[in-house]
Amino acid sequence: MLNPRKHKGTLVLHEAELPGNIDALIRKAIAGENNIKVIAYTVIPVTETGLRRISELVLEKYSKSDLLPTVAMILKELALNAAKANFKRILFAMRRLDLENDADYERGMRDFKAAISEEWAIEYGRRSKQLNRRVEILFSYNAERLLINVVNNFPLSQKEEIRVRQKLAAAMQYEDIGDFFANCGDETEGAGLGLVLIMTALKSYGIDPHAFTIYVNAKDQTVASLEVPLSSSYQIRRHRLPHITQQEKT
Amino acid sequence: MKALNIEIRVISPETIVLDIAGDVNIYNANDLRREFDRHMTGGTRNFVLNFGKMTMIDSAGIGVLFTILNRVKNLPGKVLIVHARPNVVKLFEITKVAKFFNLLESEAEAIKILETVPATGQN
Repeated sequence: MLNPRKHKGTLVLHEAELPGNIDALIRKAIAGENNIKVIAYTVIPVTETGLRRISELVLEKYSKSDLLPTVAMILKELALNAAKANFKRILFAMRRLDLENDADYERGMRDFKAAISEEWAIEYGRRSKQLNRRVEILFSYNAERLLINVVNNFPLSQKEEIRVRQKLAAAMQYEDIGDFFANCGDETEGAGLGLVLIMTALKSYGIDPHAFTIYVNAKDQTVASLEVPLSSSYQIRRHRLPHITQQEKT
Repeated sequence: MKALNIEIRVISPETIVLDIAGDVNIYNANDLRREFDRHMTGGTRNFVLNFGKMTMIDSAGIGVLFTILNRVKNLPGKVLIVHARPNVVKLFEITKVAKFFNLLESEAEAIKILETVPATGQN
């Protein structure tokens, strides 16, 4: 165990610690309803296993284990996507490409898609750590709801924000992945397939798709946020606080 | 160590089995895509995907499966999935991916389908 520590009521675990035996730490944090934060750079299968285990134990506490497949699937998508966003920024910076310039963006994404591989991800995970391009996954929970925030420590660029808004709006409309492919053809990389699967999984469990949002917070961090209702009386933020969530980039 | 390993077994000039082991994700989905491309170029039109040792798949991997499904329909050919683990079956169910694929219990069942039903493009 490298450095599991608890401060301000939050158990903080680093990606490198996740292959270890962390059950006792997680159980203790859950017993006290303390937040759990995982700090990751690469998001490899052991990271996913650790995140899944945390979700499993939290849901078990509130007798909501049936939600685990949905939560684990969404969490995997969000964590991988956040790591990918960091890698993309590093690649663009190394090649002196501007995210806001359309020609640069197209070229950068072409290079990015061509380069992506397991070995490349390990290397870019190292670079992410050196450059402190981190992904933070925060679990906060009580008997009413499980809130999972996946945070990148940089804001979306203006054009990224527009693209994310468009993909989210489109994902809300698709009935299923068949609809998505009928509209997008075979060029699906980066087209929002992950968002479509997230929306479909939420609907499958009767959870309002608006429980999933993406926004830039006051600290200029990009946050992908998922609220999972754990009690039948719980209302998601969008319904409770519409004036606040309208300001967020959903 | 790689998270994904793919082994190929040739059943006939038109049919192969892909034994997929590990985690299919954004980092390695292109490896899977390249295997499909290579064999389609070589004349394969029926793909039996053995998910017995596949631990999980993300949207990038599912995207590759759909791409190949759409492409073999035009040949015509088939994509059949066997031995999927319960967690993967559950994932396919909650994301409604399951309705687009044949999820079968055994490889023998898949081969029988390919032998007795000429490929019609209906997967």
